Amino acid sequence: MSTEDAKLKFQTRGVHVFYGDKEAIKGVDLDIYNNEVTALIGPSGCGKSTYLRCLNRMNDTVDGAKVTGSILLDGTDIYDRKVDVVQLRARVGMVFQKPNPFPKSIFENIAYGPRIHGLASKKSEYDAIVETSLKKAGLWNEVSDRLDEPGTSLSGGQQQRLCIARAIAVSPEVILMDEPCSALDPIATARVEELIDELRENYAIVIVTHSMQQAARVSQKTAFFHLGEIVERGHTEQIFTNPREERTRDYITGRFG
Amino acid sequence: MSPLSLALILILMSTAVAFVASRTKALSLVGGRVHELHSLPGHYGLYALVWCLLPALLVLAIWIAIGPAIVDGIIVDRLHEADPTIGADRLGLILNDVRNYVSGNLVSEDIDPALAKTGEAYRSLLLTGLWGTFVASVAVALAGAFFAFSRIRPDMRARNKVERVVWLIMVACSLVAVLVTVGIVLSLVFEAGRFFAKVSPLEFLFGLHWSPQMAMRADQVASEGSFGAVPLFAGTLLITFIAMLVAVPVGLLSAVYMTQYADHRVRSLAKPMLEILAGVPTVVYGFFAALVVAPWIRDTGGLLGLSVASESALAAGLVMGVMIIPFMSSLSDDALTAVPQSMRDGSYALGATRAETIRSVLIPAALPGIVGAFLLSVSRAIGETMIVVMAAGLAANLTANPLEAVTTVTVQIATLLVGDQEFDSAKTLAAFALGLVLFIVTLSLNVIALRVVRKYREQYD
Repeated sequence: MSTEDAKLKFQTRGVHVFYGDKEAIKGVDLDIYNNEVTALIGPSGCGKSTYLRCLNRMNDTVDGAKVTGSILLDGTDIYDRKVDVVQLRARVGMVFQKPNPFPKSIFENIAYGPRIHGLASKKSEYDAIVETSLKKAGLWNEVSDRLDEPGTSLSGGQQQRLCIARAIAVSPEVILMDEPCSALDPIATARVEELIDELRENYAIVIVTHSMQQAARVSQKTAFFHLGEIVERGHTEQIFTNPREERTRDYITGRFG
Repeated sequence: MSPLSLALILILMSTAVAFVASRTKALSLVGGRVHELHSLPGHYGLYALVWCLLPALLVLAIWIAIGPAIVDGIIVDRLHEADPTIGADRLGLILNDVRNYVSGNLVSEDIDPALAKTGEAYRSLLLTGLWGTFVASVAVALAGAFFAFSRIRPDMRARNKVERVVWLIMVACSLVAVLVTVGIVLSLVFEAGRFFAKVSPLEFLFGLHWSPQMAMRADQVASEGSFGAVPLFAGTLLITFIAMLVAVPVGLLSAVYMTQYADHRVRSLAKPMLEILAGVPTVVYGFFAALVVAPWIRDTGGLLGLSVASESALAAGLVMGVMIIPFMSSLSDDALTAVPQSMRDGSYALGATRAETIRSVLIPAALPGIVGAFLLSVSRAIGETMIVVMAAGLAANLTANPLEAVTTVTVQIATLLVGDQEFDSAKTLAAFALGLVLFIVTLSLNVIALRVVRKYREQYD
């Protein structure tokens, strides 16, 4: 077994997604590795977010969505009937495009996940989880003295880091990020990108982004989606400096998209 | 045909002519090139229409409002001159007879020559007034039309002027609602003031005994009424409480089911059904309560060895609760639907089940809206009359036992004012005092509810 194989987290083969009659994803094969950031890029409507939402079965909540193909997480098909979606989502966390803190205090926002999964029983244990999660998300210094204030009182960038901390709090193995910086200003974006790079040490990260620079800055692997298919995938450096496909070159140089 | 209808027809006809003529004039001034006009051709027509129609209608309205009173005044003056000793009662009677004589109705006395003469004078005054109004209104209409027509130029800002008039009309419409409310409040306050001159407010608000009797004769038995409204307040609260016990859980849970669990087919079927409940007239709920629910509760209570009155607070409260369910559920439904999808996604993505998401995220997020729904429902329950009139009884018992008959503020208002009443007795005036209390309570509940709801709206915008 090579080191590459040992780090394999998600192995997806022939993934199709249908919304009613519309085929949003047409047979996607992609591998996602531990301790790496995988960026999904491509024009709007190309299916990258849809693919991302397959990985923690968020498409289940969409009416009329159907997913076929095999998506293996550590060798187990996550669409198998034996898999409990609750446990799956505890292992595969997600951060959304728009920061969506719950209308609760900062503390309760973080403690929410551990509470529903029963990860702690004593107040002191929750305190510890909240503190480590906020520290990992680089938010602790800014909010440690006002954990009782509502999560919505934070700035946009802080809210997004709160959402990342919330995802970390349930100790996931993979973190999915759906354009996590698109609602943030450049400074907050830089902060979140730094954070993504730090988180790579402990998690497998998949990030959907519209920003070429962001993909180039934070990711090790890149997959270029177009019209529901993967046109090209590989090491980020290779994709951005020496794409094999005409369409990839056109997209990253801004000729279409 | 009466002069007024004739005037109306003529005004409408000249309005139509003014509209068409002005529109045509505007068009012909620019040779049909619409873009050279400041406004659309229709606006010039509407401008003339407004000038022709509104002042003329105003003239008609003024006559209808004060014309007959003027005629009455002139006739009364003449009768006074003829007989300076005539009393006010007698004057009113004669005036009534004169009016009846003129309209050809039955007259209370024989038609004597004097009455006939006054009648004829009245008739001719009235006719003069009517024809005067006719001439004035038609003249105003024509003058308005010509004025507008003559002012039409391609660069006239007809659109702005017409929109200004529309704005005025809208202001007038909203004033109507406000003025009516003010009028109602004032009448309540003044009549309640007269009541409190007879009965002390302290006795009314804190007295424990309600028996609104007033003696017709001094020697009558039970000549002293007592006006302690606490039993009514207690009865109202008891019934409202029972109604809320039914409406809040059922309404809230059905809203949760409708918004979170039901698929499209169930929702499209069940929601209209629930809304039908809201359309049932309360009097229908009332006899359902009185004839079905109340006897059923009495019989069931009998089987359990409880003594239940055949009109009970429980029966009225239960049925009132059913009546409020659609209200509670559709307002909570709105509040739950307004919670952004992203909030739900955030919870699901952490591995929360649907139930956990609803309990820990959705309901807290929608809570202000749900509280608003609750308060509005309470104010409906407090103000509801028909169901309690029919099912809760009239006995002003001060009790917390839902199996006994109680009475509410609204029921007492209804019974105090049904039938012939003298408006100087404390018995009748008590209704206004009760109405004032009711108004204050429901108004404050509504204000609080609206504030809570508004605060919540700001949260996601």
